[in-house]
Amino acid sequence: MNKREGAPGAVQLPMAQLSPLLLACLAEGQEVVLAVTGNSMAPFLRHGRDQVVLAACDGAVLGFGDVPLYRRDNGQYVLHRVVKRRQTAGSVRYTLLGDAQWEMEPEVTPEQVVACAVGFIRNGKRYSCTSPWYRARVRVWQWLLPVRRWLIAVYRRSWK
Amino acid sequence: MKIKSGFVLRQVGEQYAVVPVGVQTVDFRCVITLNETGGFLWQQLQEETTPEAVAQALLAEYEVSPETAAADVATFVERLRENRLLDE
Repeated sequence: MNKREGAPGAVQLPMAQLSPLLLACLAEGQEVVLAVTGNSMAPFLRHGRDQVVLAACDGAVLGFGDVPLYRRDNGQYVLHRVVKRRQTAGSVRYTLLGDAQWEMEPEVTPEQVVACAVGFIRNGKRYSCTSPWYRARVRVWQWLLPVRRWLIAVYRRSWK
Repeated sequence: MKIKSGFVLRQVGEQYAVVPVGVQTVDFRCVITLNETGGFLWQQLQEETTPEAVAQALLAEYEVSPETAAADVATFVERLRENRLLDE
């Protein structure tokens, strides 16, 4: 995996230490820009290239295509995409999947969700996560899930 | 001298981070992190003060020589000045 240094002055703190700061900013109603780490959201978000713009989602029910930052039971923070939502009386569960992955992570609760991606920044330009063009590409990528592992294998060559 | 308004110092584990307030978007790539001493100096400089007074406060709080304290304060103040974070 291609590991590049963060931007000059980047916060070199693990997410667990960063989270109080992140939560404080989100609680103030501020958006937070974070460098994307890891390539599990490739090709949509790439390590070393993209930053993600996060905002508080205040208990809003997420749907297909939304990208929450959530906390796993082991304390790890992850940014993946909602591919399924199961809603029963009084309870909501999400199934999460990285765009470069094909193993689903089911049963994520709304309580685990810390923030939601509202946009991303690439080469200094900001893009919205709600634009129809973006949503269409997300949908196409989901249709291609049965062949995703091969697409990713080909794509990986370009990021090595 | 004093630090410009519009920033808040938050403790993050054993470190401190300086975050802008009142802006819509906080870029975490530009957040300033400070160690414990840096956090202490930042707190001192939130009120109108002088480098001498800050060095005195540093001496009272930490076991350092007056020369080291004065030099450390001067370095810190210079960094703030470079980044245009000081009102003088």
